[in-house]
Amino acid sequence: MSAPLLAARGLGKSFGGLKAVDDINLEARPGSLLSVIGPNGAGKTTLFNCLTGIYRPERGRVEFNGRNITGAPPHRVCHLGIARTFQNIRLFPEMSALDNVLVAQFHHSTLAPWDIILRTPGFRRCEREHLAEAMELLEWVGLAGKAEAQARDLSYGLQRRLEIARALAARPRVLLLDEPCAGMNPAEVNGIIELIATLRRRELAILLIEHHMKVVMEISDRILVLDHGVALAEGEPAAIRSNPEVIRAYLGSEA
Amino acid sequence: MTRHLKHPAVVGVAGLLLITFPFLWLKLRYNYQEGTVAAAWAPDGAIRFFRNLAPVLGVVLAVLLARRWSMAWRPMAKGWESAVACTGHRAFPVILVLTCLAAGPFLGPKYLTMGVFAGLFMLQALGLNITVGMAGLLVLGYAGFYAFGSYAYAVGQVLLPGLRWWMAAPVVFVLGGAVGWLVGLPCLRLRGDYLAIVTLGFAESFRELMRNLEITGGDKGLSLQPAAKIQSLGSLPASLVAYILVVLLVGLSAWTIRRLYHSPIGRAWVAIREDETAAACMGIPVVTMKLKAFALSAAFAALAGLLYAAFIGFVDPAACSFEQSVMVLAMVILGGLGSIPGSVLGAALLYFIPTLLRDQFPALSEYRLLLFGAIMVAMMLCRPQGLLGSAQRAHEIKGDA
Repeated sequence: MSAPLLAARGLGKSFGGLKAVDDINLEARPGSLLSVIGPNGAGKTTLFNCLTGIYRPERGRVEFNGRNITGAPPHRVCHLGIARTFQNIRLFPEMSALDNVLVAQFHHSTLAPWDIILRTPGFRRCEREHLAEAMELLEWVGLAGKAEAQARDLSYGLQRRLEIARALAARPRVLLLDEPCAGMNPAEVNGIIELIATLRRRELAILLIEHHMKVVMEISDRILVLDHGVALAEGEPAAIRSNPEVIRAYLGSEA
Repeated sequence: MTRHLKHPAVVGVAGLLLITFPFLWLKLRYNYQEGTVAAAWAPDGAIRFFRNLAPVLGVVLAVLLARRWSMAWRPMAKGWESAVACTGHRAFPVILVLTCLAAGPFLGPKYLTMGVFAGLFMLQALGLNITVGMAGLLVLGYAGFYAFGSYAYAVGQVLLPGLRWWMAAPVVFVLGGAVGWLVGLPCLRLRGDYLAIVTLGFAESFRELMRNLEITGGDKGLSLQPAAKIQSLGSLPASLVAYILVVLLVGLSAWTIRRLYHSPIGRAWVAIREDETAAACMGIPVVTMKLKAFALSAAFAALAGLLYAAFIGFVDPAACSFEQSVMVLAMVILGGLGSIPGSVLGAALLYFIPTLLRDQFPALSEYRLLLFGAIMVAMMLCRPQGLLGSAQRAHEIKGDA
């Protein structure tokens, strides 16, 4: 088994008296998919926010490639190779789909101001490469024909896909997907499952928050169950499915 | 009938009458012996007011009616849309600059001066558009940076006799940027209204500082040595030199800012405007990029301020009045937030309309601010994105590849 790329060690974060995330440990490895499930308010998104630097965890550490990155600001976390999508879509609504993707390549360009103002060959090459990469990503998520459309004009399902393309444009090694299938119809959900499946072949470590149990059970390598900020269980899908505590807290009888 | 009474226009006019009633229709009569104040009927103020206001209201009403009832509105809007597309064309700014330059020698000193002032406003609008339009940071104290440029040069030429505007310009540009950076530093944790208030505070305190320092001449202001002003060059009179200089600078600035806009930097600014958190998570160093926007914007204001001082030969604390800041902001909004040709057009309209009005209808100049209000309301109703706003961004590089 490969070494973990992204790891949380005893992570804790509270809001007032509420322990939103309490003593969480997790490890994300390249090419594997770890799902985080749990009822609403279990602390899943807070956990993601702690991992990506939006919140500063109060206890515990976040490690990337063995390096302590606890409390690093979000853009540093992104530069290291951790990209994410958001539960409530957070695209740049007034920008075109293409520009949304291009934004995420910001830290790949090492242009000086005069390169930009004088449009030096270096600048042109860099922009061309980024444009080609962005178009490739758009094509891959099925948005090639809508590159010039404003993000706000895209359908809900396409906006979710655009978010994934944007996250990938940052060339991450760890991808955090926060409910990518929320509010989608079954056909769209299947489309996202296929996308995620191809992502895993890219040797990305994927963290997934999802409520569609079918999706989670189908594509996860491991599952982490949260409830009230605490890790209830962690293990392979089959073990989670039969864990009595998890069934009581979250899955219910239908699982 | 009741339906018509509830029409927004009727309600608006009624509200305007109600609000202005005490100021326009009544006059306070003081009786000093008895120490009483009484309101008396005095409609002459109102009559003057409405007589002067009529053309303004007429224009607004005409636009509204045209939009509401005329079949011509749609083709007009379409036509405007294609005009907007033209402003995005590569040759457009070049033609504009060349036309302005060619017109220079034929303009009298009065119009040259107007041209210089308009150009200085364009320079400021272009600069402010970076922070407000692109990066989405509301700055209410922009005139503070403008005044900084003016005073930096005015004080500089006192301390260093022999200083000329062309030596000072690059230095003041950089210094203006540094001041912008410094003012930006404590503001970075603030968003929206708070940032606006801090920048406003900067402009106000800078003005108070200038009013109270000895070297700046206090309230009286500071006159430049004649040699420090923009000089005539050969057979070209000084005003023509200033005019050519300003036209070229506006062109150069618009060109530079446009290139920044269509680059990773410009995209980062817009991303910050759209969603700061998402931008940070996509690897944009939000704080640094905001500071850069702030500094660049301040640098343009400082440059405009220096040119103003070097052209007029005089600076006083009125340069950083709140009205000045709001004026430039209105120009940016009128032209269309984030639009570079829009900033230039907005500056031209909001400078030339009141100035020409003052020439042709002196009575109207008192109602300048009211006119701004009317223009803004008409614009928000007809074209909320600004005159030249939201032109689809073309991808230059894609055209080349």
